[in-house]
Amino acid sequence: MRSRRIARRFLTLLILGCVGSSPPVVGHPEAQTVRAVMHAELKFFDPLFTTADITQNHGYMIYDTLFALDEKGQPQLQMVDTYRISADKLAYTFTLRSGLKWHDGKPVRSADAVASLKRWAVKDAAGQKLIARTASLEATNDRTFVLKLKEPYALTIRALAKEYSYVPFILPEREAVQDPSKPFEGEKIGSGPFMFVEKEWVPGAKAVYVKFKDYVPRKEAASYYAGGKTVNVERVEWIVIPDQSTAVAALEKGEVDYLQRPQVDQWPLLRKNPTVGMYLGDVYQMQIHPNHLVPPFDNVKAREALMLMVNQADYLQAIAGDPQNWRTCYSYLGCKGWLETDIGADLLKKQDLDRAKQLLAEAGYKGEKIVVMAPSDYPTINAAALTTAAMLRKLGVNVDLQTMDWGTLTSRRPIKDPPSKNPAGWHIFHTTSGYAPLKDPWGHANISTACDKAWFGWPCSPRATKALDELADLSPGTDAFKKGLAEYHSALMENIPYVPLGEFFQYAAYRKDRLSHIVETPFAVFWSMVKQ
Amino acid sequence: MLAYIMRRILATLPVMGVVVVFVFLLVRIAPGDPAAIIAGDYATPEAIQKIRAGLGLDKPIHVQFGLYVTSLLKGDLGVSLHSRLPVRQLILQRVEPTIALATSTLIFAILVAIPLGILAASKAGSLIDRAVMVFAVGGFSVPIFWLGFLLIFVFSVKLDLLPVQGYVSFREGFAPFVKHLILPTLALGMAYVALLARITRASLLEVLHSEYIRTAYAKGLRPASVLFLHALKNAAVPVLTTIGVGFALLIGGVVITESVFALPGLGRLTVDAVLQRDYAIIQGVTLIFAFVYALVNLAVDLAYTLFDPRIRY
Repeated sequence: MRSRRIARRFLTLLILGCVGSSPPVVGHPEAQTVRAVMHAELKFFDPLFTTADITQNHGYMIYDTLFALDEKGQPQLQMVDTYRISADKLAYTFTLRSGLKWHDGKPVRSADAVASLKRWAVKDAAGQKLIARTASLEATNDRTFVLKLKEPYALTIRALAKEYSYVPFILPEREAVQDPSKPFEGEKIGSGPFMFVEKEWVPGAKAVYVKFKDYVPRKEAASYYAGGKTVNVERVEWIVIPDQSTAVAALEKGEVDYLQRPQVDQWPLLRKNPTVGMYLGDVYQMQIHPNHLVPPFDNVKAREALMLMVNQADYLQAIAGDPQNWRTCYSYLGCKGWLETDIGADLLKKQDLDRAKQLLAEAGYKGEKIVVMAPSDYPTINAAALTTAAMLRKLGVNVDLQTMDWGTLTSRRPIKDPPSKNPAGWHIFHTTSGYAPLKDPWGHANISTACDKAWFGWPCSPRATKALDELADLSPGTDAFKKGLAEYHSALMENIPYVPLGEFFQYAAYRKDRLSHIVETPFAVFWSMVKQ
Repeated sequence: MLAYIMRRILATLPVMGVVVVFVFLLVRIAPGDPAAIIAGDYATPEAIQKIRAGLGLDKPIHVQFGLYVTSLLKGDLGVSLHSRLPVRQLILQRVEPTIALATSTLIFAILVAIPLGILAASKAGSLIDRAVMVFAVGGFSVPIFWLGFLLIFVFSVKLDLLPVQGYVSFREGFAPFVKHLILPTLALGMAYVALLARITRASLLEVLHSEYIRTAYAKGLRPASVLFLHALKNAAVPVLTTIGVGFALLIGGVVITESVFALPGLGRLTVDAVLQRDYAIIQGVTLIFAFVYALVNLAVDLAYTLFDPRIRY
């Protein structure tokens, strides 16, 4: 009898051991590990090889930058300790902070910075503008380097503080001197607050970072990407969970601590959970991109018709549902940012379907099929595409809505031929821009009006291109800058490179009973974060 | 027997050849540009072209095919276009969760389906039989992903008994290994159980109406002896065939199950590779699956000899 009782108890314990779970003890290494579900899997490690956000995010983990933007959008010193600008504004002398080290223990030198900037400037639009004005960029000693310009450039420091693709991360010289059109070869070593643990990387499943114990954070408080990057956790794991519902369930159950970009249909569930906190990670502008090379959208009247067709609230409701998840915005350059302006946006502010129909007819539209590409694997963009198709049909347009995955869309996007000549041709696609590129038109590919050198859609406006170039030479905040900005925005509204559909929000979600002191940035950063 | 096995293995080579050509062409005909995906959204056309050239994708298709076949003959499955890691390494990294899931599903399905099928056949026409058949229809009709979400909701989120996602190798502990496999196995196994139960029932019913079974009863054997000593062995051949054919169902289901439960297996590797147009991985994994499927069918054919001594190779 007694032996049966013991056996039963043993069996119960065995079963409980198999099915039960216990939380990690505070102080245990598990408790100092943050498990985050990022928006994509990490495949590439060279932040200059690809514009993919996840690679830039990886860059923020292991690399550092000379300057960084604070929460007010102002460039602040980061790796740079001090800098001097000559009286004629042609020479910038930068001195690096002392004590900066690479993850292999070697000191960071100004030669690393010089090589990294030169490599960055080959590929990055903001870097190209800077290097075009550069006479020389040289290290003068191990901690100092000098940038000499051919002409003053007011955006020099802002360019070096660029926060999105391509971020001017500083790499070791041996990697920075390699061809930027290929991923660099060598170890993934930076001087940033985390080290990448390559031996634990499982492509498509997990990426692991550990605290770099020799990192010397700045003394200021963390502010956006600037300030002190103090790491309070030992380890960060990026877990890949492809299904959104599973990721949310994992967060609710505590198997993960953080979701970088949960989809909008999951937000009501997350908001209801008392253990989950959410913060605004990023703001996106949805855009209709017409093909400027193909009739009828080669005629500005057809593009004006698109503008008049749009009621931003309708689109945003379809994309993000609840009004607390979006806001209308009639600025190409983002709302609530330093470049916000809605000069010239009259066509966008009030929907007028009758006028839109009239303009389409005046543009020469005679009922031919209009190909609208819709990516079914991007819910927000797909929602916008479906709305556009519906609105175009209301205008009497013969819509050919073609559903495909994003990979197919990106392979068709470069095709300039009309659909009547090439079945892979297109008239309209949709996409988004994050808040950072909106505030940086010099580096923002989507808004380029450089004709055949522009981004897909190939908008052509010498007036807008010139106005943007001239704006780069004006000091922000001055009357001349405001006038230049007005001219630029008017030129954009005249040409309509794309139709802005307003802004919707992207929230990140986290276990607020475990994580605190989160720095709220579009690229998830794990410095400052505390896990209890 | 050995000669038969060797002949069968050699016979897979032309099949593999067809698979190689078919998959190679299919991935390249399908729309999508891996270089554009790699370069990212804001890359310039020049940057995309440089990447395409760097990957060798600008070469004529027959040149690409020649290079691929040459590597394949040396046992080299190529390099992932994205991670630049050898495909063989990626497959080896991801094969364990898939084997674990497939094996656990197979064992679960056999252990549950065959007794269910026997029960239904022995009680043919009764309420039990009907219940088993309803379960079989339901189990086969319910989508794996839906069942997966339901299991997660009930057993993970509400009851907090089992983990939501992930995989733990048995090397890191048997208990967590089993815990992480229970729900995926249930989700994937239901359709397999349903299929096997139906086939077992049908096959057994056919055998139970045979004359030699009537003779066995006439000899005075107990029903259990008739069922397990005589009927079941003779009903096994169609069941074995279904296990083999159903393996394809399993492979397809593994893809979905691994995505729902975030198991880092070959199924997910394949899905990710398809979405990213990672040609090398798609080709490599398809070849592996095709070869394994051929081996499974060979194993099934050999297993026939265990149950039917008339079958000899």
